[in-house]
Amino acid sequence: MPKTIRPAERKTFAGSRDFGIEVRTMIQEGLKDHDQVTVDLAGVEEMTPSFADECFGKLSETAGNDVTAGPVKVINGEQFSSLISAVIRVRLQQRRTRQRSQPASK
Amino acid sequence: MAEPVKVVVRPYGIHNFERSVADFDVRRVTGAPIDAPVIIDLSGVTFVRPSMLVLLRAFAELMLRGDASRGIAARRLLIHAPKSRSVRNYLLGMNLFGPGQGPQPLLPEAANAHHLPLRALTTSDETEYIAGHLKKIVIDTLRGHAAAEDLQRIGAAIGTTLGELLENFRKHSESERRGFACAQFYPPGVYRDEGRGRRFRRGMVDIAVADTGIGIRRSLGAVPSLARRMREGANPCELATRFGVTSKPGEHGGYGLWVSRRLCERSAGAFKLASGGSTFASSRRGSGKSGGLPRSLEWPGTFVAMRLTLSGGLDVARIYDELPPHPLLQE
Repeated sequence: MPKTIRPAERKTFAGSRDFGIEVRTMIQEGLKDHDQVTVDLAGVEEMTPSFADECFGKLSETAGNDVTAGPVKVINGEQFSSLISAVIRVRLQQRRTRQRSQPASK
Repeated sequence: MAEPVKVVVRPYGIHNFERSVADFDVRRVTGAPIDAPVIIDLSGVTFVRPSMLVLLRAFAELMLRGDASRGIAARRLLIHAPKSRSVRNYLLGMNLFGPGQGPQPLLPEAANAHHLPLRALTTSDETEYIAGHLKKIVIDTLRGHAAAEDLQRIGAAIGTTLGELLENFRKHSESERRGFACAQFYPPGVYRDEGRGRRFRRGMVDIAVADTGIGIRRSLGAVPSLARRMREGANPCELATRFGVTSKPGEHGGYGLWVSRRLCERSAGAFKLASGGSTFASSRRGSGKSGGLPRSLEWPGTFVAMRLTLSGGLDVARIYDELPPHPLLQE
């Protein structure tokens, strides 16, 4: 059974990096025991780029791919889809650039 | 006791922010004898905007507490109140010289209040509360006068901008100096100016934040590539509003000031930033104007003021869709 995280149970304004770290940690903990974690954004009134970057952006950067297309399912957050896609795109772009600039190991 | 040193505050709005910053003349005040009290003369103030309020509050904090790291001694502070009774009441309602923190403002807010009183930026909970509260003020006022999707769009833009801006200040001041924020919502309406016909004004939100922290130049200067660009002449304030520019590369994304600036430009509003001796103002067409303050008039920290016009351009989702490639300045 997939685990479901509901950030709005803690805060309805997802505005700070601190809260982003908190939700990201919950997701990472959930993925230790489950193949999929659902993030239910029902009740979240606002989301800032800082929160989205800290949570979904950094998770994707670590994984090397868009986690919301894989083990992290985001529901009830259509209004935040542009933002979440944007921060993930930027983080993955950063990762690719960093990898290209590093010399290949022998 | 030494002669008091007087700071005469004049009522400037967001478009004259450089004059507001210069009015405080911090170097002259802090250069006065230690036992000289500081008088803030508000007697000639006939109107008040958030941009002036945050500067006043941050300046008062600096004078009252002093700053040992800069050799600024704490001083007695005296206020000459505004002659206008309505301005005096407004300043009380805006919590000027109040405790600046905690859940209660100095005076109870009216049920139909259009302002967000001055608050100190201390924790991330505080920044989220402030942003959510301002959004609620605007949405509650506009409810019944705007379509639901417009309310959603406006609420998202205000919440995002303020949340991002406050978080930026709180994280980046890197000092024990507190930042202060306040906002005022001006509802849409028809006004009649003297000697003119009726004029329609769109709804607007003025937001301002100021601190007496380490400033943008020192903050960005910790990143070698940004330090080099500033040495080569880049204006620190203009640099800070570019996408991807951050003092914490890799850790932070550099979204905050860029999103705020773009929203102001898109909504035909105004965006102003000052820190130390540098200033930056952005127009509605997106062409910014960098400037500087004379060394004697530098602001000892960072100040940002912005005006969002509640127009069709206030759409934060469109700005995310247009996110440019990340410059990776830190690489």
